[in-house]
Amino acid sequence: MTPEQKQAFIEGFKEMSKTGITILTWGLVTGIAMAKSTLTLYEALAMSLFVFAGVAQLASLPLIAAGLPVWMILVTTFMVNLRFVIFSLGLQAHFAYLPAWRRVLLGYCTADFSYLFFVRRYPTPPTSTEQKANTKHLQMYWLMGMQVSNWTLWQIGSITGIVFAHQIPNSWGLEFAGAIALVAIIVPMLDRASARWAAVTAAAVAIMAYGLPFRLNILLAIIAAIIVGMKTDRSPKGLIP
Amino acid sequence: MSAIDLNSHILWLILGMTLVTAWTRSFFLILGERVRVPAWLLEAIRFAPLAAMIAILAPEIFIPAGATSISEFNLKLPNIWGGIAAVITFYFTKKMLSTLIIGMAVFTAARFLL
Repeated sequence: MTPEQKQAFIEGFKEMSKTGITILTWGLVTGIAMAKSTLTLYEALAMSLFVFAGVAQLASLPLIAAGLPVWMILVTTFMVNLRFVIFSLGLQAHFAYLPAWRRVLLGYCTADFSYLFFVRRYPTPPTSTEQKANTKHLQMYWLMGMQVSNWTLWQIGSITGIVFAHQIPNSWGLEFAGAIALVAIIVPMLDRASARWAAVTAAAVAIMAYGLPFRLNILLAIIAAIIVGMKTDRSPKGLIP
Repeated sequence: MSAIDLNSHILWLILGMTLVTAWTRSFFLILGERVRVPAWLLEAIRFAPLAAMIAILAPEIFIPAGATSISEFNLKLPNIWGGIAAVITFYFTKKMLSTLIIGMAVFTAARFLL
């Protein structure tokens, strides 16, 4: 890494670390759920370290306990992850020029928060002249800094949850802390009318469609929020809510 | 939980879930420069990350744990009061820690009182 790239990496790392408590809390909640499932200690650790997709992990636990075949759980993982397929469009616009292995690695490591913060800072893709001038890959290093911070904090929370799950009584209702921790990420994003309309729509659709399989309520909520968000948007083009 | 007890069936599953996650997260990114994402589509998906987060959060607040649909909604749900308290606290303090503490305190109080 050149000094400039290192600087971008550190800035990204710091940006994500501001959200540290939220990531730790979600990691903890997911770790506890894994430890209290049918997984053994080492299976839970392996799932945490490799899968790195909290919602998909939580969705898989009851299916594993029910003894469903592997392929059915993998289909569920795919369906639960559909929001990332949408996010990958945004990444494609910025990073299509990278070699294939780098694109896959960069995509795999980009979870919800990394994508959110990335498109907020870089709402529009680089033009072809900017692309040619982009020999230092600073955007990529900034994103990588966020990913390393996100991954590390998530694993600390998750592994703590796995190891100490049986010392934490169910009666504390700790799962709810994950929900509260998300509030702090979402509220600052509601700074414009179109974002608020999109948010209300997403909430209503996600709740109404909660009975659908594969967490498809998430996908429906995204589609509905996009439609309402676009209709109510009066801001200059390219601003990220 | 027993000590070393790695079930090969579970290990294949974990490997599979890892690959599926890598695949979904790089779904269009894998295609490289063969695809150009149209500007209107990028414009539209600006709302996607916010909506995804709300869609993960909202059922946690408004639907009881273990419920399968909205029909089990009721105002005695402590999550709703904890959630409202958290939103108000964050709006005024902008502090993560106080939001967590007050949100959890109201949630816990509501669980015992309602």
